[in-house]
Amino acid sequence: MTVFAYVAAYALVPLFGLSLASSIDSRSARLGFAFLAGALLLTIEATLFTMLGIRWSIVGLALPLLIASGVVLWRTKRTDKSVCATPFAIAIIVIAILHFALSIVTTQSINPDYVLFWGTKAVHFAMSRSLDAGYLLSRYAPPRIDYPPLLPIVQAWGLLFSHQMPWIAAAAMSAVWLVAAVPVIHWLTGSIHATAFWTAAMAASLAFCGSGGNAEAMLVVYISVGAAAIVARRTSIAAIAFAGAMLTKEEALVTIGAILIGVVIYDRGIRRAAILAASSAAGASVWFAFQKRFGMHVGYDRVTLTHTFHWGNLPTIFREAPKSLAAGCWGLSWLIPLAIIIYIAWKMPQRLKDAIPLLVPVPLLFAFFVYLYLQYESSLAMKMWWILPRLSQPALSLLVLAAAFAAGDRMPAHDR
Amino acid sequence: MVTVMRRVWLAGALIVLTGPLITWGSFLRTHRLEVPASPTENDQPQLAAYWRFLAAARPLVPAGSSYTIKAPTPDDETQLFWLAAGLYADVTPYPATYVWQSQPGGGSEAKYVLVYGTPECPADAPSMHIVNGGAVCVRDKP
Repeated sequence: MTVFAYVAAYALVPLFGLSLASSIDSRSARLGFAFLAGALLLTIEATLFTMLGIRWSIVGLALPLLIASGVVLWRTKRTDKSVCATPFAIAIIVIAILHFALSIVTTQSINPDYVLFWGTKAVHFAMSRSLDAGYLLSRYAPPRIDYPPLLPIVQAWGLLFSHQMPWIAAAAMSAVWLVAAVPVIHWLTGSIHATAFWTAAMAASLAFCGSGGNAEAMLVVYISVGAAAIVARRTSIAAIAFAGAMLTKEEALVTIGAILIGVVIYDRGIRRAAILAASSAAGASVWFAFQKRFGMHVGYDRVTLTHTFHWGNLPTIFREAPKSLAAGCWGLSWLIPLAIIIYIAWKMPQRLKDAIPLLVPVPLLFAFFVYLYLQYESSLAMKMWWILPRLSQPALSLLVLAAAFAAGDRMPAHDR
Repeated sequence: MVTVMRRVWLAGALIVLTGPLITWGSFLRTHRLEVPASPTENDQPQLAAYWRFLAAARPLVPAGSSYTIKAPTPDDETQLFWLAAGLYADVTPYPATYVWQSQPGGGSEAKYVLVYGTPECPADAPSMHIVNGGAVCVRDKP
């Protein structure tokens, strides 16, 4: 019963986000994006409720979002486009997602951080029916109090229904984020076959990294949808996704920054980059405003940069990186899109042009990783093995999506 | 080009999925399929052992009371405390160790002492309940 109630709570999340997904002309993609947007709106609303002193309740949180969705849907006339999907590609997508979900259910891929602080925060937030600043600032606070609140708020939303934490089932809901992203990626890339590869690559990587219950799946999904939407020229979709990413994990800051450099290079102007930067900043500012309101340290505190470089780390970095980039399939999920991109660059280089916003961030992110690891003073190999598999996932997704767009033929369908 | 790419993507996806296939083959050869006793049962055995102990002790610690944790090392106590924060959210914590640092009072204010490892109760908490992985000791006061 606890598990059923918890899962039922997640089923409501897409209804919250329909107001932001109404422009999508594919029913499955609209539903998938509504889940992502719903989680974002729920997070913003729950944070604002706490800042205003309003205790969370199921009705209190749900009603405003449902009304907003209802009003938008009522005023929208829609003609959905049919979506072409082959059974074989769908079978691959289902197998890939089952792999990730069952890896979590069998506790092969539940992240320690989930039981050490993500889930713990969710339990306390649900119990206090607020984004419990008292707990975050308490003498015995959990680790990573500076992490943005989207994941524990969504988990706490489930707890408002179940009252008890179904720890393994709640972690398994990480797979739902991948399920939600699949139709959106399909809609944006226009290729179910590339989407099948993307799903296989990300499911293998997420399971390999132990991404059950932590924020990795959400971050990868928000970044991937946002980046793909940029190339598909759906700026509003990208803006919403990036705001979600900024409220999910601090690493989003670096990844979005790298993507925006790609956008500026591609556009030869800053208009779209400025819009996306503003939406990202708006997402983060909700969390920063909460921090300021309750006297917490304002800002992200994740990356400690000493600016002291240990050049002797370079051999270790290059020796250890391949192992950390295995992504659950000996690195094949990197090598296959890389081979596709090299082939296209050789045969039809003009097709790479539109994938620039996805291609530019990949080397930039790796340069950032090297910059980061050069500053580590000790235990570099062990820390890389802990961190790099997770940290590199957005770059992996961007590479696959770049290959998908460069090899595809349906980008003009999204031009508006 | 489009037809070729479709085949490349699908073949690539199948190749990528051989990694998970081998992972599952190895897992199913070495593990029985059963309901896991903890969220990290098959990936983090030490955390799983902590979790099983805390879950076994939980029914003996009523909501609204207070607890502390005693374990062989400060690292054990630190990780047990963080795990307990989720499982014992409705109980007031008085950790003996927090973030690897001994705390003033050493958790002496707590009513319930969760002893991980060898079930030996502190002298001031003589009432002992043996649980999987340790014991729950109860102080007469506070």
